[in-house]
Amino acid sequence: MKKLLALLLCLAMVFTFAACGGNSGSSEGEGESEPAAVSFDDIDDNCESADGTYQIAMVTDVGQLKDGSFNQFTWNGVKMYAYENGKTYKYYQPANGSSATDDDRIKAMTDACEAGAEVLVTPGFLQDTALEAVAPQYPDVQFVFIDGWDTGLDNILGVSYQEEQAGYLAGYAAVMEGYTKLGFSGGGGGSNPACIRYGYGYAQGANAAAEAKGVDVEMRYSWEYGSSFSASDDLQAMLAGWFNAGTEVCFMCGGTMFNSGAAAAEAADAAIIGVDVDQSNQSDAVVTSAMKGLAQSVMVALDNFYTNGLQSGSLVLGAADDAVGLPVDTWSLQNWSVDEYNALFEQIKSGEIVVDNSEVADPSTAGLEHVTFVK
Amino acid sequence: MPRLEPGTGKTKWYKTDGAVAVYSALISILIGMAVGAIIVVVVGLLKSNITPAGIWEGVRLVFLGVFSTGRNGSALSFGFNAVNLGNMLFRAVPLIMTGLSVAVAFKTGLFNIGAAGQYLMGTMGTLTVGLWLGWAGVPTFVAWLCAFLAGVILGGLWGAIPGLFKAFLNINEVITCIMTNWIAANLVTWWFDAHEAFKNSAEGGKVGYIIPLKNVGVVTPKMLMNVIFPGSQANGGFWIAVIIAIAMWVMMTKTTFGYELRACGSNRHAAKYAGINDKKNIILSMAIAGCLAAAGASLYYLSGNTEFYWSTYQKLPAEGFNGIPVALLAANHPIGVIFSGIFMSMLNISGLQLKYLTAYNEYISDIIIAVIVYLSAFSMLFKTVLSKKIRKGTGGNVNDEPAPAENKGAAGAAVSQAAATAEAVSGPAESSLEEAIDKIGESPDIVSAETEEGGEK
Amino acid sequence: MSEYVIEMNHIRKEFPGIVANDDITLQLKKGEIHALLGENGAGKSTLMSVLFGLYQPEAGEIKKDGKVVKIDNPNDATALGIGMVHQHFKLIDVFTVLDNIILGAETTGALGFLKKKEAREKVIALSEKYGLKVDVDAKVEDITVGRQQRVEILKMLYRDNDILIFDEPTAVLTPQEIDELMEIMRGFAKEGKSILFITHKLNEIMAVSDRVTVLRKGKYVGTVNTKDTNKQELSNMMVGRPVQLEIHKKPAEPKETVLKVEGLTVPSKIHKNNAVNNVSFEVHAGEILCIAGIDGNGQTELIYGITGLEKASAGKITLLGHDISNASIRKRAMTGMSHIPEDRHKHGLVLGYTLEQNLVLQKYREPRFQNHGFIKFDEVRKYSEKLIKDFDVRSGQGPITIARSMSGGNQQKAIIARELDRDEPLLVAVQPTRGLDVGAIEHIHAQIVNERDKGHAVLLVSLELDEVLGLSDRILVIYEGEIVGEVDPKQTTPEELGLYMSGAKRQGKEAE
Repeated sequence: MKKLLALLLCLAMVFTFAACGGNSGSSEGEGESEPAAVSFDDIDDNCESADGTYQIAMVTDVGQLKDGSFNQFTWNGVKMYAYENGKTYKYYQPANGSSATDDDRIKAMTDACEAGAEVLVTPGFLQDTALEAVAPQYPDVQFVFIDGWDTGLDNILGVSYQEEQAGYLAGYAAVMEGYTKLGFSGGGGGSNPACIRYGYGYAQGANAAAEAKGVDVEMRYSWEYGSSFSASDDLQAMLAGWFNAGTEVCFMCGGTMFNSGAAAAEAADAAIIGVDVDQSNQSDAVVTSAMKGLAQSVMVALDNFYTNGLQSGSLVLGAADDAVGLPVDTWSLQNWSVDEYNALFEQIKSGEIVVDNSEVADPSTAGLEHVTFVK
Repeated sequence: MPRLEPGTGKTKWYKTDGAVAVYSALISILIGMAVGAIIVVVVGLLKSNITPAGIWEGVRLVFLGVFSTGRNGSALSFGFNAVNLGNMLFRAVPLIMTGLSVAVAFKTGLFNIGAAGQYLMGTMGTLTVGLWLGWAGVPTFVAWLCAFLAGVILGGLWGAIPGLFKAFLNINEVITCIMTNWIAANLVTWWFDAHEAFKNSAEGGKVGYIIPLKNVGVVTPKMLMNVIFPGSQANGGFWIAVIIAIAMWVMMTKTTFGYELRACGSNRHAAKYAGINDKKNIILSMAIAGCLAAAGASLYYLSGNTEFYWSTYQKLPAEGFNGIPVALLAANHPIGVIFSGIFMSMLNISGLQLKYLTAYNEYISDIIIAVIVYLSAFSMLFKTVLSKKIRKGTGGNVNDEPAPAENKGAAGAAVSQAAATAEAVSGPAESSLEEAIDKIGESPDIVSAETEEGGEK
Repeated sequence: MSEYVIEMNHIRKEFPGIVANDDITLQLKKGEIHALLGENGAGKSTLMSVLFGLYQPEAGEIKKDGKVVKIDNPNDATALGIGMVHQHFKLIDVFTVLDNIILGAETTGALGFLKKKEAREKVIALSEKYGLKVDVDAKVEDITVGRQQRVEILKMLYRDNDILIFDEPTAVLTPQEIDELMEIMRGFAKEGKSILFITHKLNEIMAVSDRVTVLRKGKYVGTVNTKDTNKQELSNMMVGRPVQLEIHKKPAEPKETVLKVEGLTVPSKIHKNNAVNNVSFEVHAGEILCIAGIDGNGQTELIYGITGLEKASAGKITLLGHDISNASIRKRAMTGMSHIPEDRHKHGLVLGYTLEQNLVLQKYREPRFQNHGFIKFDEVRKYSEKLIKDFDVRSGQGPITIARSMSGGNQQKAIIARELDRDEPLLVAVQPTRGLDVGAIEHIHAQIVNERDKGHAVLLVSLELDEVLGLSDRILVIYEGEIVGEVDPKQTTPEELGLYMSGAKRQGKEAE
């Protein structure tokens, strides 16, 4: 009797998951500039190939596949490309979740290659060590290292983004919206290159907009409580203090730190800016998000490989590739129009405006005239 | 009551209680796997993208996942997979140690749900001392030993706290354990957050992690594991865990100290009556449990390649709680814990194979693992049933008392295990569990009522 | 219509390795009180469990009013009007008396709501009719054991049972409560209800029953009319050999003081007053000093204070000239005290341990049994086998029997073996024969007397008047934590003792 009950319970759970998997997509691929006839969610995450081999594989970063962020949007690109081009696809999660070791990642990558992967997408800088250990053993397999860099190996393509451009757009938009007291809370303790570029770009954008409007703005800039990219009470307390002290909008640059920012901003009726993907659906406090086109860039990289063969070096994607930007459909900016945004975007795209991409962790040293950094 | 003539001496080895415990564990494991296989079939039938061939592969992987060697052509192949088996032993080490921690405490009548906190304190001690001494250039072996002992001692002290509260203030150890778990989680986060030097800022902003001990060369030797399981993460830590488990078994069963501990666990009042210092034993037992859980963490991080995600204040390590089913499946027997720890670790490897080689996703494989672990807990039930069957079979066993009276004991053990949590919640139960069972079950105590206890309160 | 309401004919019930009931016949007349007498393990409870549907017999038949019935489970038994008061009550502590009584037989109205009002009226009517006074709204955990038993009885009455089984009902009661229970049972019989009364206490059988069926070692010995028999004959039937009911001993030869207690005061855990208040006495070598009194008058705490199980708040205890007032339990024991505890399950035994492990509970640290902390298993085995033989402790698997699975009598024998073998100058024995049968009591009494004759001092606590008067050389009566009198067992009467025990008489006050 008990066993029967347990079985029924299991079945109930299975049905629940099955229902999730078979979600028929009414929601469109939000925030991605690529218009798609089929939404990402329409494509099943698991496909079964007849011979047990999978052509396009992905090894996930820490966290689950459906993290609403990095893993999920990278995977969306893989699925979409495979769907459009009739490839088989599979994702591999390294054993032991967040306590995965490099050996676990190596195992996942090796298993993926053994299972016939032609191209392996690996999002996240944490995968570097494992990637450089596995890639030489499978010289015919293309490795795509998202958020990565040029490793010097022939079959690894590092894909990185001009985050400074996305940051610039966000900072510009914030000041144009009328905010004069800005904040930036970054992850990685001031040593993560992507976060540094986002932040410095943000400061530059704010400076440029302030100059255009003829005003001076104030900015609080911090890497505190962000070294692990996660939400914490300390972070939330710090941000609440900022908002109480007059900060109107804060750029939450790093993982689930977003949640601390959202909580503090909602309480203080302030605003935040999301990062990486469109986070407007996660909190009402989000005015806009500094995005990079993960899914799209994955599709670009995959297409490069299937048309031109093995790629190496690094692929830096920016406004010129439509791989960074703000979500014009979902933002809640009132005082700055989409047309004005498009004009600015075109200027960056054409190179008329060049955003400095040097890794300046503390922009208060950069001599930005119209931004006053306060502690 | 008629006394039958004595039988022909000892019970055959395959009919002893120990053997029965092993059979029942195996039966429950098999049933768990069978149910897991049924889930694979049902999910496969429901999902349009899984073919019958895929279902059959899934079923085979549930049972034989650890022996999977990937694919030979398009068909699954099985055999000796050194990497999988080695990783299984590697991941079994913390499970064995936390399982021992729970089992030893349980033998003393304490429910150590604080293994997670003790594990974290062990992590902190080992990583801190290991890195310090590694940087200071202390000889590797000395550094290794100090790092290991630092973790173990810190965990032991941490475990002693609930023991102190229990002994002197009679505060239920479950409550204090849960509290100390979270205190440990925050303490460890605070410690590493405040010390930038430990954070792995060398590798592209991996500052969320502590520098792995291999970077300073303080690493457990492989001790032949690299020969038996080339390419895997297994190291000498497994042998150390096995030695500790055997040492625990010797301690619990062969020494006066173990005799005292178990007497306290079985009947604190009688222990006190016999002049045993029950307070001291409660504290010591929790300290030992803390040492064991912390040793699991020490061995895990001393493997060198493991990286500690230090921002743990919102999340307790799963190893701490997985020790409970490990101990349960092993019926709290220290040697049994070695095997149940390996078994739990094996499930993860099988699950990984299922995820990697078929279209089943991680949620399904986690459900299957959970179901198998859940059904493993029924081993106590099977043990009761089996011992009944086997006793019946032996017929002429000398037995002054009818067998059901003993079954009461077995059932009591099963219930008391299960009731441990319940008891924990409801506070220190004054009446013994046996009494509780007497009240719940009509049948088991009727025969033992023959034992005519007089003026029970 | 048959003469008997219940007939159990040729019942046979086997358990693996044992025949618990071998061809047993029991016939119960309407309106009689029928005692079922037997030693521990004679098969009484098994037989009643068969009648109550908990076990299925391998052979034999059960008839109700002359018709063969099949009783598969307790529900069938209840349907036939059979109710049972178990030795261990089946009550839920945190429920009220009323809830416990109606549990399982609830009447519900529309929508499944309980009709408690009707139930309450019925329970109150029943309790008044039979003199079973009990507060229906009290929680079971808050009422005395005697009251709890009434709740059990009310449960049977509430279900309109007319065949009532009482399994060892007096084991947990005080003498007054026993008298009240007897009265209640007689009332039931007069009402036409039939009562099966399981016991091994001869006094009760003589006092209340109409007929007695005696079982011995699973076999039927015979059925006799109570008025045609006597205690001696019954105990001979029960044990299978002539039993000495009287304790034979030489006059005491008290020598030097072994234990001296001065002004001992022990606080109570239950109420604010002291459980033991300023008690002083001495125990001499070669005498048995008995502390007599009604249960709950501080005997337990007095012994706890002397043995160290609980801290005394004031007073001095001197053992063989050593002040042990603040010594640890172990220190006291090593100074020269052995202790047969009141509650053998709570203090006396580690039930989960084997017999041999229990036999060395006080000795495992001696060099004889351990070497650098490692137990010498051979020595433990040798020693326990000797004790088992010397004290005739019977168990299924000898030294490796789990203590829990042993019968109560043998558990007590094991404790006595362990404590007497220590051969200490002072023996503290608290209710050493509690719940044991005649044969075992005889044996234990002889050993205690033997201990005295060896020149040891014995401090005995007993609730049984027969034992107090028969065994002791000197009696101190305790009432509400104070010694209210010292009497000579040879010159006193049960009546006088009763007056002291109930607080009606007090030596100090008499003098005024």
